[in-house]
Order: sequence, then structure tokens, then C-alpha cells
Amino acid sequence: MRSGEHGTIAARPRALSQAAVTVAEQSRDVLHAKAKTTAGRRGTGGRLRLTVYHAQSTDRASVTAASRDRVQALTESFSLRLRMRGQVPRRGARLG
Amino acid sequence: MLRQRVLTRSFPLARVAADGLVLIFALVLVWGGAMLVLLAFKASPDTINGLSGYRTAYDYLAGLEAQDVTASTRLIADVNPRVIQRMADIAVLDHPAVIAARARYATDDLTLDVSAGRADELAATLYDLHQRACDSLARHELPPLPVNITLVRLEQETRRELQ
Repeated sequence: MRSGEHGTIAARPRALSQAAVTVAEQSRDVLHAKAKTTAGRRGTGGRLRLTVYHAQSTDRASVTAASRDRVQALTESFSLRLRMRGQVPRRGARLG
Repeated sequence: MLRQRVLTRSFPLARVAADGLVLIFALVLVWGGAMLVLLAFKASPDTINGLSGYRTAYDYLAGLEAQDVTASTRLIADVNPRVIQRMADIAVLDHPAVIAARARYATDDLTLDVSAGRADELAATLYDLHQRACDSLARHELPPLPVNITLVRLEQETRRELQ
């Protein structure tokens, strides 16, 4: 995140995934979320793949857009490239 | 009958370096011997000191006192690393978003692994923790060190709650 003579401020990828899931699940339309973060090769930044599960009756585009807005602050501050996917859980799937 | 022999081949650069060290050591010995010979022939001590610098170096080292050691050197030598680690732990645990913290002090930096309990404003929280750790070092009159803050875990709230 930041590195200089005063030290480094960083986060582990798994912690960022947990944060992204927590933020995405704050939306009422999101039933469940999964995230995977990979660190970049050049030291700073990385990629965040976020999957949000929503009900079949909910509009996928609106759910993903709302989730994208929610995690935007996180992705910007940690220089993450976001790849988001909305998905309806398969029948009988256990969520959470 | 020809006897078999195993030849060990050394690295050529290592041989050159070893020869150089031997040469330097030999020159130092010859130089010291020459000074002794001069002294034996009643050369003045000022002349010998001008050539070798022995008395100048001796007086400098003998005249060193506690205040000649810089403040940072003395503080690092005196303060137990565990004290610094505990101090950093306490400084960041005061933050309401922090659940656990573990500090590790090395000679040239301080590393803090932090577990947070809130996902909102995570970046601002980490910057704040960095500032708190730096302020804590300054408040205890310790020399400034690079402080590395790493978020290692986010405690997720359980989704099943009975109210």
C-alpha cells in the first residue's frame, strides 16, 4: 500500500478478501459473497475477484453495481483491480 | 610404482585474496618492526607518532566517554526489545478497530501484525496505526524507526445471531 523510509503499510491478501466479503455482504440484496485476492508481482497492488450471490428475483446488474460501489474505496486504497461477478446460487446450496 | 594423488584445486580468486591478506599482514609486521628499530636508534617519539599515528589513535580511544556515544546508540543498547514491542502493541491496541496486534522489533525496524475487527475505512485505520506507533516511539524518547504495519486478518462477524 505504501512503502518508504518511515516503513511499510500493507495487508495480506486473505485479510483483504475478508474485508471485501464483509463490505459486499452489507448489502441487503447480497446473500453471500466470495472473494479472492492475489498480490501483484511488482510489490504494490493486486487483483480482487469478487463473486456476489443474489436471489433470482434480484437484478444482477444492480446488485453488482451496488457491490462495486461498496468495495470501491477498498480497491482504490490498496490499488486492487476489481473483477466482479454476480451469480444466483444453485438450488439447495448452503450459503454462509 | 606410481602413487595416486588427489589434487585439490582451489578457487583462483580465493588464493589471490588469501595471498593479499598474508602480504598485508606481513607489511604491517615489517612496519611495526621498523618503528621499533627507529625507537632503538633513539628516534624521537614525535617522529614515530607522525609516521605511525599510534599515540594519536591511543589517546583518542582512551579519551572516549559515555557522552561521546550518540543518544540513539545508547538508547538502542539499553532498552529491552520486548519493552519496545509491548509499547507498540499497546499503542495500536488502543484503536477501537484493532482486535489483536503482535509487534516484532529488529535492530533497524519495527514490524506490527494487526488483526482488525471492522472492514470500513481500512486504509485510514492502517495509516492511523502507523502514526500511533511512530508517536509512541517519540513519546518514549526512542529513536525513530521505520514501522511496518501489516493487516493479517479481519475478524468477520458471525452471521447467525439470536436476539
